[in-house]
Amino acid sequence: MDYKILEKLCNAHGVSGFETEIMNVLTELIYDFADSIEFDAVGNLIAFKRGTHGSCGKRILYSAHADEVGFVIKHIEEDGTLLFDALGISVSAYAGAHVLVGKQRLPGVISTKPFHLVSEKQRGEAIKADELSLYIGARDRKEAEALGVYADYAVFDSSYEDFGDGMIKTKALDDRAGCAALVELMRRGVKYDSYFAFCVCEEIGLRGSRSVSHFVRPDICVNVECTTAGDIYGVTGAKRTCLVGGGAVVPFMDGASVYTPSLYKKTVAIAKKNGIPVQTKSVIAGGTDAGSYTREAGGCKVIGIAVPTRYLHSAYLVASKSDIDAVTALLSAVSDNINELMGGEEI
Amino acid sequence: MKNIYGQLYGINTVSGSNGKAEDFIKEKLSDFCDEIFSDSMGNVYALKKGIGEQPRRKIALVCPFCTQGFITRYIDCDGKILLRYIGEPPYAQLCGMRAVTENGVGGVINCINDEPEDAGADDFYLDIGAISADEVSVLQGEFVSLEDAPELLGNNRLKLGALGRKAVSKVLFDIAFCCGTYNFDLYFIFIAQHLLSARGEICAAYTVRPDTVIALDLLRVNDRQNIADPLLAVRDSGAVSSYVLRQELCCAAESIGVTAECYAEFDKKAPSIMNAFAAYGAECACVGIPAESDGKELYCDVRAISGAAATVCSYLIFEDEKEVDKNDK
Repeated sequence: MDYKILEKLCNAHGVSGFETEIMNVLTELIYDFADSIEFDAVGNLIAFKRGTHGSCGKRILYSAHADEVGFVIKHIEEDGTLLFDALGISVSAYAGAHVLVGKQRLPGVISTKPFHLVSEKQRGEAIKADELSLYIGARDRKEAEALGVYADYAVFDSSYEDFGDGMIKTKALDDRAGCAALVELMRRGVKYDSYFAFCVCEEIGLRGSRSVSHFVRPDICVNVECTTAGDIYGVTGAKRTCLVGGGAVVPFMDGASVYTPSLYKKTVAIAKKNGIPVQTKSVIAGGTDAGSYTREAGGCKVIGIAVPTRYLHSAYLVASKSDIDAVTALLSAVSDNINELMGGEEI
Repeated sequence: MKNIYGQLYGINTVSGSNGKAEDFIKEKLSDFCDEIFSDSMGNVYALKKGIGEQPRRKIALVCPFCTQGFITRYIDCDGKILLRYIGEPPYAQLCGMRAVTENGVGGVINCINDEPEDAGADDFYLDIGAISADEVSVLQGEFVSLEDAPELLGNNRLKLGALGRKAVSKVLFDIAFCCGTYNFDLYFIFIAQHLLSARGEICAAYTVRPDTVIALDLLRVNDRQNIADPLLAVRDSGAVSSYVLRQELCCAAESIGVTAECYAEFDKKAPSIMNAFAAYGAECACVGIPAESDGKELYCDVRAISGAAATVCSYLIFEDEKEVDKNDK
């Protein structure tokens, strides 16, 4: 994995429904490696790349989502504070957070409730989302309106950083890591003619991928994602879901889809055969774009490959470079064996 | 049990497992249908092509062909195989039931919770007698099916056991074995992943785009005296059935001496068979097999299954005559 690409992708803005900037970055990254690039009506970027062996007779799709969790400004108060909706983030992850608003990247701070206003009883309770606001330094509504922030987006103000022993912390790793893996695959080249989809609006209900399903009509899809790793303080056993540093995650099921059982087993076999560290998930929750691909447009066979990531949907997601490299390697190995995967042959 | 209920029970079709359904259906229906194929979801389609010129009307007979069961999600250090239940509540009854993995490893279902009544879908494990993870050869992602065979009791009563909704598929087999060739294409659709939010129906609706859909389903009824006759469901959790189609089915039933009453109650939590097809513009109705519970087990009457098959066959004959009249004009 070229981590400069990942850094560029993570630092770009692309809240669900406001993906223009990230799509521009992606277009620039794949322009010289794709045989065609187009955008569908809802904003998905769909690229086509010819394979070294031409077509295998099946429509192959590699997918990742380009949008990130964030905020939408829905109201400006008289005193210049902004009210917002959080897209895909729980309150505990953003109270007191630093954010950047809009293309202008206006710095802002999400409030917390002042301590003297929190009763003894309330100290143990969760903060309510409607008690929070966003302050960008505007003195009144007029000043805020002049900045053009109404109906604009906001993202966490946290950029890509290496830290510790081969670890990364950044916003938007979900799913810029998947996008980076797809970009790497395009640059490396594929064996068979393939589509690459960078989807919009995954975080607000797998919406972009539904359109991609009908646009591409794939026979098989490899969906690359980030998935929650619960290997943190106080969590033991099955509740840890998967482990950072444990390798690429190949899930068998989540809340939105059952990954094709035979392909799940074969993908794990491919990983082991190629010496790629691999694990699966012990908690069935959440959902990915695979949910769209399994059921829309008549459905298709689906494989999932994911980066185990701590603190999903927060200001700083944490992952291990070794896992990201494992995902990239596994994606490449799956791509090389895709025809055998579809043909039912033993790996 | 060598009859069809026993055979249906014998195939592992836990919702999501993409099991051996296609092989079984091919074995049963290849002599009666022109084409049998499946999709990536696991749905199996058996097509009886119509006569006459294209485009021909498409009528689809649809029923769920998946069962409740489990998927293995984690092997605990003390040998417990932690499971996710795939099916409908209530869950408490699952404790103590025997189950078997895809690779034939058998065990007993237990609950992690001290209070099984409060159990959720993730609160079950399979006890195979192992005391450490090293002794367990079951893999994460492996499906586990319940070992609870159906039983034909006296007075035409069928204890459904783990067979569940799949028992209703006998209606489709009965129809396929005896129906003729019509002036429309007739699809028999065996739905996979019905228990997982009716995903199979979404795929099937897109693949076939039928004009008319007759869904076959179990209808849980409370305190109903007569469960020997099929019912015509007015609605399910996702769609309202077509009034006209319901009336046509009612007349078709009457013409052969079967009583098929309308039934207005429905289970809000049960996935909808009709919804996906209705969304693609199909005219839909649901012929229900009434099933009653004694608190632990679910029972139906095999006469209702035969009655449903006869009703639908009668309807198909009427529809064929209409198509002939239309073509003559």
